[in-house]
Amino acid sequence: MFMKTSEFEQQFTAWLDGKLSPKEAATFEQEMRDRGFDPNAERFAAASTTALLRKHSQSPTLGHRDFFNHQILHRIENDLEKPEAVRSGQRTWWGIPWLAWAGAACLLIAAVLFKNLIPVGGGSLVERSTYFATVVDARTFEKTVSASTVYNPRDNVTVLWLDGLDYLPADFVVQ
Amino acid sequence: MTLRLLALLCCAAALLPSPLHADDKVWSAVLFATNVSSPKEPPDELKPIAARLKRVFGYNQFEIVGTDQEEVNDGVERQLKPTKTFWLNLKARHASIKEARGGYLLNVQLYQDKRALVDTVALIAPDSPLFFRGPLHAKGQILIVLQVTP
Repeated sequence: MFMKTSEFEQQFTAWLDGKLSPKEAATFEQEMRDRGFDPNAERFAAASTTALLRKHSQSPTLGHRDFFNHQILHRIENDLEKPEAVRSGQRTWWGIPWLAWAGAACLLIAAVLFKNLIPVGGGSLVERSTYFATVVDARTFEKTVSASTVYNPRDNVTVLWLDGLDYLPADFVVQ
Repeated sequence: MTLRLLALLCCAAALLPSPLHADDKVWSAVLFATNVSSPKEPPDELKPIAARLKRVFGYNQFEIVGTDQEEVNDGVERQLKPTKTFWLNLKARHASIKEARGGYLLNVQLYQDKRALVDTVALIAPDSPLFFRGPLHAKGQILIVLQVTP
């Protein structure tokens, strides 16, 4: 917890540092006198204290200066190189070869899914057959003759079945 | 803009029906199906479908009595005469439906000599034979095959 400095103390510090205007300094010196302080004595005491502290309180000197300098430089260099490395990494990941490989992989996956998940014309050989022959309409010219369409789905054969035709004897030669 | 126009034209071209294949042909054959103790090997033309024919018609031997082939032209009437006795009169229209795979809508009349047996409209994809079960003959059966060959 920090103790809040009073306005008098702040002004005292500013007076010591010579940051008060001559008028403010004169007013503050008068206030000091009113409070029972001698401005000259106080300034002398503060200067003596500062000199004493400077003399006996030296800042610690770091050893291995070269090592620490190297460490600091290394860290600065890393900070400078990082964005470039990230950018070059992005280029590598999204480059044309990677896109090509990704496209090929997608096609392969799509082909495998298509082959395994989408049925093509059913399972049996007959269902997969490309056979297509269908009778749309048929009419005969004689009452005794009839025509009917027979489609055998197992063998994939369409027959226009004519019934009532005259029997052809063995001596009848089909020319 | 030019690329978009080009892509649009390509899509439109892909959606248009495929043009007629000038070299498409319609092939017909008259077969004689019989049951014999030692059946002959089916002719080369029938080998791909011989097993199916056996199952569907119940005969174990199929012989070709005669064949005929004509080029298909859209809307042009053709006569196929695999034999003098059994022959066909047909008119072809290019079929645009997907299942026909570039096949034809055929208006076919089957004749026995001068006698019209049947008038039919059939949709046939290439290499998908349509069979006519004809009259019984001696100890067998007359069959007529009609097939579009690309």
